[in-house]
Amino acid sequence: MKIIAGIDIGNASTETAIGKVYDDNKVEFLGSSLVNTTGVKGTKDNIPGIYKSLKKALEASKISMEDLDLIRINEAAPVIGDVAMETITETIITESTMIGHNPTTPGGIGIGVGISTPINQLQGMKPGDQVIVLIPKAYEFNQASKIINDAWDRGIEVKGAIAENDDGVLINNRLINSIPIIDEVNLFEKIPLNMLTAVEVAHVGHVVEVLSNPYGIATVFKLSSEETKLVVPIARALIGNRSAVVIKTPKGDVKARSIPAGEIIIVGEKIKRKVDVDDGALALMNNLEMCSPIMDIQGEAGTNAGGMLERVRHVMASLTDQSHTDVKIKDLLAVDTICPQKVQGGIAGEYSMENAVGIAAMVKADRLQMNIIADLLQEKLGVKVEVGGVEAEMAINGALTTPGTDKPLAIIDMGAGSTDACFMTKDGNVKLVHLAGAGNMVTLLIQTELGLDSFDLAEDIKKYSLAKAESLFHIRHEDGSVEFFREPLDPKLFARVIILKENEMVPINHQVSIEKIKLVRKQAKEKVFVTNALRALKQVSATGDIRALDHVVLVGGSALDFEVPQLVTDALSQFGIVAGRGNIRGTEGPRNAVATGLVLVK
Amino acid sequence: MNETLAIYICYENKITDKQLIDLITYGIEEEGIPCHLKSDLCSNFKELAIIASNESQLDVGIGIDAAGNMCLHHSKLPDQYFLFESNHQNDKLKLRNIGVNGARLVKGIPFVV
Repeated sequence: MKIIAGIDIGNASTETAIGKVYDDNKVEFLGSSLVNTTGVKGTKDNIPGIYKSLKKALEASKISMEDLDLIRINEAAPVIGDVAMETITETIITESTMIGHNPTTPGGIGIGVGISTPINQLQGMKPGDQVIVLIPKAYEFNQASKIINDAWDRGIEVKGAIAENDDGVLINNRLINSIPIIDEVNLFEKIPLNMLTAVEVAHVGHVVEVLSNPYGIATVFKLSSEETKLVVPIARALIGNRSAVVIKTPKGDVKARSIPAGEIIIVGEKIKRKVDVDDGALALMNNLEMCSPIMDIQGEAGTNAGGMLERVRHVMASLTDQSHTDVKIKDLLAVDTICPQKVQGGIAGEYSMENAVGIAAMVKADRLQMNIIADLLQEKLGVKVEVGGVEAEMAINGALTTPGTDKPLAIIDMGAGSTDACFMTKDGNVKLVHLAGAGNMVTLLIQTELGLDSFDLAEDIKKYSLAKAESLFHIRHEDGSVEFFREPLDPKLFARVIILKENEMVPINHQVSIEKIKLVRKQAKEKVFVTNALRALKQVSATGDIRALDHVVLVGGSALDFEVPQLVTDALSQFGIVAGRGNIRGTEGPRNAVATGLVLVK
Repeated sequence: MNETLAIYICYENKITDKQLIDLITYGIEEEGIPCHLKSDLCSNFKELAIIASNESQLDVGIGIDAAGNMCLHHSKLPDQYFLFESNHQNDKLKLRNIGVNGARLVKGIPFVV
């Protein structure tokens, strides 16, 4: 009888399984553990994490280090991945022709058209003049409303107002005639003077109707049919806003233009192709499939995607002591996405939804320095340490401990940096692939589509479910159920969408609805994991057809996610495949597959 | 009869300079909620806030004492739980924000901090 510890060092976590192996090859598992990996997978920096993981597993097994006969570590598949985002369109406003921003409380209702005039020049206007008055910060609302009322008395027609302060309602409440007022304009001083201007404010709960319609703008500014064509981007940008301003300046224009995002060169065994990133994700993925099998992928220097590809190459080169040119990028996952970008030239901090392409890349090196780690560990612990077999084979052996599984079996290992798939035939032959794009890619997509500043917040949105604090006493979960609290909630959470972490509620300080976040989250997971599951299974299947597979077990960190396994199961069921989250040894869920497999090696 | 469908601001009757209170009402007005003023003998701003919120049909009240201490209270909250306890005599924006937050408590949209 021997006591063996299997240790699996992954990109994100280090897992241990400890088992008693009897002479008749029967195995009794004693305990397991999971800790965060220290350092980059496959380097000496992993040792503190390995030690911690081992110690935890020993405690769980109620044995000590001296009781161990053997430690087996994985021959870590030398795979690393990284992600980047490339924005491929942008909106530019020249000469400040529009303000499409949404102050929470604009004043008045309706549309007003007139000449933009600073409030201190109002007395110089003649009776019958139609003006849009500009009210800077220095003017209190009492003062401003009095000046406007006086102007009306003299016959000057004040048709609308643009205010720098958040005073729209207060000013309007003090006017004899109600006018539409846009307030909270940041770059107030940039508003062009003495130009024909239209201001529109819709009723609460409604959106602007005239200025979001090209013919509406044409009516207001008396445009020709040629000129009307040019205002289409303005109208489009204002759709969905409760308030808007359009100013007609001689050269004013809004342009939607595409940004050259560089090229990606895919080198296949037989063919080589250059693809413009701004052609979109579909073009990239089609060309990738055409060039398969891939020898290398290169990016254009000076672009985000190009820089990311070279960064991955560089990290792998320094990890494995290889030359930069010897490291080959073997796979890429491109996903179309949209991201809110600040409008160039906007004067109230407007955002516009721009197209972007998210790219994940994966590098595979010959081998990492697992033997060095093994020697160091043996010296430190005084226990024999060996490097176990192929990681994928170990994972399948571990996955086979899931009740209800048998060979032939395919597994999909969904991690943080890459998605790996492996197929074992009835007689034990193994075929495996590593694909770019996994958990980190999902996080990046969530971050860009919601326009979040922090990757960590996006990571939380990915991992945890949402709720809304509807009062200081209760929250409504994303599925509609309600939970009450005895103690009042933190006012910071009030009326906000919150992330329900284990012991903490984190507010999301963006104006995004819970439905929108839920949709973005689900779509991001589908775009990465469903796409990759299908891609991976196609490649490991003996016939190249997914339908040839019967059983697929999902393992790895992202299989713990509360919705990824369902999405993949659902997608694969359309091909007649039984797929589900693994339950290693009937107790461990989708984790610990490789570590378990390492103990089971005969 | 008193107008009850409003946020109540209850102030200590020793306060003679109403400017401070006006600033709070501007915040409430900008958010589009009615408000109602009331003076009282009481000299504790927390008790004033409780009186105000109890009288308001919207359940939201603001209490201010002669020293300029103020806070926001919801009549359905426990009696020892007050929002935005502060003393902002010299900060116009913060005074206005107390009013804005009172109105937002009624409307159910996030507070300004």
